Amino acid sequence: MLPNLPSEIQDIILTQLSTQDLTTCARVSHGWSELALPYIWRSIVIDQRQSVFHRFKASVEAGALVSNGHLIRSLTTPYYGIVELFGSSHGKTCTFLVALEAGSDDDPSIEVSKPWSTTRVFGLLGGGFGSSGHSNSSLFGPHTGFTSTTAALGQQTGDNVTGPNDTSLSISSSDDQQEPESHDLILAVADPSSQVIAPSVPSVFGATTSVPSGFGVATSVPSGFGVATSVPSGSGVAMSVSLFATAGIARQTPPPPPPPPAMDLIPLVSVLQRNTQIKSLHLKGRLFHPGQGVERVVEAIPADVEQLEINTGYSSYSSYSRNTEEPGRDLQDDDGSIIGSPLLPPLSMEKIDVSGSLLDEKAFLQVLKRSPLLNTIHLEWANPKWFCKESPSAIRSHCTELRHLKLTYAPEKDEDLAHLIDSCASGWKSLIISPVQEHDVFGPLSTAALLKHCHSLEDLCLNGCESIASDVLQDILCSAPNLKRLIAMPLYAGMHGGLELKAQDMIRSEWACTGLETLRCIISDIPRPDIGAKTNGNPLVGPLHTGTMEKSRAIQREIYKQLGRLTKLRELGLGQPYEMDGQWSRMVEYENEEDYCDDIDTQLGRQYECLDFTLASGLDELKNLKQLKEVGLQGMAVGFFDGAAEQEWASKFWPNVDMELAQDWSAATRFRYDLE
Amino acid sequence: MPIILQAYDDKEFKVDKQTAERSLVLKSMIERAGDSIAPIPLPKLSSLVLEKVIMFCKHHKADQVDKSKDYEDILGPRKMRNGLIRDMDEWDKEFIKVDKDLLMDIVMAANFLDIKNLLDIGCLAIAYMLTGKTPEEIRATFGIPKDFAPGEEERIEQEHAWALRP
Repeated sequence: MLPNLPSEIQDIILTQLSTQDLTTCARVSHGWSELALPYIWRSIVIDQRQSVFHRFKASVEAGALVSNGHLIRSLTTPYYGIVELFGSSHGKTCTFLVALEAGSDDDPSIEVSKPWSTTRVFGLLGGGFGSSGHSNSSLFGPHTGFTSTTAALGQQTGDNVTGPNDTSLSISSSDDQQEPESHDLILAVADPSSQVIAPSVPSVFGATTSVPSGFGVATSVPSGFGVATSVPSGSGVAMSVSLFATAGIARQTPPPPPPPPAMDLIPLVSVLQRNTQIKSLHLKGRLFHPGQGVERVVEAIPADVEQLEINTGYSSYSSYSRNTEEPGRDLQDDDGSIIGSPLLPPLSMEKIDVSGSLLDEKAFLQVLKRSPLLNTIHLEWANPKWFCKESPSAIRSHCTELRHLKLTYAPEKDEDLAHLIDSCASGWKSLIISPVQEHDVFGPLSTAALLKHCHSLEDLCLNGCESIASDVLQDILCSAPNLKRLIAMPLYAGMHGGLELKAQDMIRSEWACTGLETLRCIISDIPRPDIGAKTNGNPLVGPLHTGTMEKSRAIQREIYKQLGRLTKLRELGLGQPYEMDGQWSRMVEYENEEDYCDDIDTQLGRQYECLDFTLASGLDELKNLKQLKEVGLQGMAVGFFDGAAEQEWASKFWPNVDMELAQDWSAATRFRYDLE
Repeated sequence: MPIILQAYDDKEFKVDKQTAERSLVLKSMIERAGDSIAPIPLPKLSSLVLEKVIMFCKHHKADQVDKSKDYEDILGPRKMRNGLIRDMDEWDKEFIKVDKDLLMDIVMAANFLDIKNLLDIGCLAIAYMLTGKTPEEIRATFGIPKDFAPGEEERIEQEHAWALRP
C-alpha cells in the first residue's frame, strides 16, 4: 500500500507520523522500512529528556548510527555527549548534515556534584534583564524595550546556561528540573556577592504567586534577593510572579567555584570536518568559551555555513565587568599566525548571531576575518567593549558586505561606538542599537558617525538611546532619504526630557525621509494651554500650559504638515505603548501616595504637551496618509476620542486604521478607578 | 452550463461549474474549452470514487477561503501531527470514514485531479490508520507479507528504541 503510492503522497502521510509510529512502519516490511527510516532519522532532536538521551546512546552503541547516519540532515542537542558520539567512529556515516545545533551540557546521567552547580540559580525577567549585581535598587533591571528576547542571567557557571533564544527556560538549581507552568515574570536569586537566601523564601518555593495589580513596584529588596513584597494597588499590568527553586540551595557562602574543566572539542571538530554541507551552525555554552581552544572549531567551520549562531550563556554582571577590565587582552597584538590565516578558506556566512558574554573573542574575530559575505551581525549581551574595540578593523578590511547591525547592550564609550559605526565603509542599511540605560553612550563622536551614515540607512532603531538629543533626531530625519523605519522610544514610559522630538526642532526644516513607513517616537513640547491639570488632578504649570491657543494651533499645524508629507507611512506611534515589554519594571520606593500617583502617571507615559489630534488643531493635514494601518496615541492627551467629527474624519481618510486600538484608555480607567 | 464527467464504467455525472472547479485539473480544462466543453472522460476513476469526489467538491464548492490552507497548517509543522483527525472539519471527518480501499482510491483521485483539500484529508486519514498500531496490525490491515529475515525486525526495533515514547 504505502510503497505503491506516489512519493508526494507518501511524504504527506509520513510527515504526520510520530517517530514512534514511524518505527512501527519501519518494522512492517522491507519496503516500508525503506520509506519510514529517512523520516525517523532526518532530524534528530535529543532534548532535555534524560530518557531519550540514554536510549539514543544505547541505540548508537548498538550500531544504529552507523546504519542510519547517512539519513540525518539535522542534529539538535544540548548534550555534548551526543556530539561525542557523532564525532566518534559511530558517526562515520553521518556526513550529510545541513544543520547542527550543539550544546556543551554534561550527560544527564552524571551526578551533578560540582560545587558550582549546587548554588546555581538563574534569574529570568519577563522580557527583561535583571541583575542585582550592578544596581542595588533595581532587581527588575532595565530593558531594551525592543526585542522580546528573554535574557537569562546566572552566576558564572559555564555550561547549562540557557540563552536568550530559547523559548522556554528550564531553571534548575539541583538535578531536578522544574519548569514553571506559566510565567510572565520569574524572579530568581542571582547575586554572586551573596549566596544567602532570605529566610522567608523557601516557603514560596515552587509556588506561583499572583500579583494581580502589580506595577513593578517592590518596596523592599533584601540584599541579593528581591521579591515584590508589597504592591500598592496601583494600576498596571497584571503580572504573575513565580518563585521556585529546589532543595539544595546553599544557605551559606560556599567556597569559590573551581573553573569548569576544559572541553575536548575534537569530537565537534570531526563532526564539522565530516559534514561539509552544513548551512546552519549553532554552538552553545562552552563550545565557544575562551580557553577551550575554539580556534580549532573555527578552522573546521565548513565553508558553506550561511548562518552561525553562538550562544555562550552569561556571566553575571560583575564577572562580566571583571573580564572586560582584564589587562593584556589586546587581541591585535597576537593577531597574525592564526587569525586571518591565508590557508583557511573563506566562509560563505551571511549572518552571525552572538549572544552571551563568555565568547572566545579571538576565535570570533577569526570568523569575522573569514567572512567576506557577511551581511548581518546580531550581538546580544555579548561583551560590546571588545567588539567595538577589535572588530571595526576586521569589519572594514574583511566584511565589506556588512550592512545590518543589531546591538543589544551598547558599548561603554562614545569613541568605541563611533569607531564601530564608522567601520562600515559602504553604509549601514540597518542599525538597531538598544542599550541598557547605564550604557547609553551616544556622545558627540558616535552621534556624528551616525549622522554620517544617514544617507544609506533604511532602518534605524534607537530605543532607549536617551542621549540622542531632539535636534539630532531631527537631523537624522532631514538627512536620511532612504529611511523606512525610525523607532526611537524611551526605555521607560514617561522619561520626559529623554528621547523625544521637540516641537521646535521638528518644524525647523523639512524631512528628507519621505518614504518613511514606520515612525515611532514621542513628539513633545507642544504648547497646550487647553490642558491645565493631569489626570490625577495635579495642576500643570509652565509656559506650555499658559500661552494662547492660536500659538498652540499654529505649531501643531506645522507638525501635522511635516507628518502629512509622509504619504507612505503605515505606522505612526506617538504614544508610548503602555504594555511595552519591560517598561513597567522600574523599582521605586514611594514616600507617600501622592508621589506614587504622580509617578504612575509618568510611568503610564502620559503626555500633556502633545498633539491634540483634533480637526481644530490641524488633523486634516494628515489626510494624505492613506497607507496608514496603525496609529498609537497611548497615554496622550488627545481630543480625538471625544470628537464625533474627528472619528468620522478618520473613518473617511484612514479606512484601514482601527482607532480603537490607538488609545489605551483602559489604563486610564484603571488608574482613575484605583484613585477612588 | 453543467459539466459532464465520465467514470471509466461510462457512467456520467453532471456537475455545475463551481463544483468541478474545485479540481484544478478540471478547472484548467474548463477554462481552455470555454463554453463548448465536451464530456470529460476520467478513465482512471470508478463511478463509486467519482461520486464520492463530486460529493466532496459539491460540499466545498462555496468555500470562500480555500480550506486546504487550514489543512496545510495542520500538515505543516511536524509538531502538529498529533492534531491529525481531531482538527478536521466535522463534515470532512464523516466523509472520509470509508474503507481503506476506497480511501486509497479517493487519495489517488484527489492527487490526479489536483484537489488539494481532499488530498490532505485523505492523507490525514491514512496517517491516522497507521497511528498507534503494531507492525502486525498494519500487515494484517493492508495484507502485507513480512519479508524480514529472522531477527531483522528486532534489530530495527532495537536501533530505534530511542524514538519510542518513554
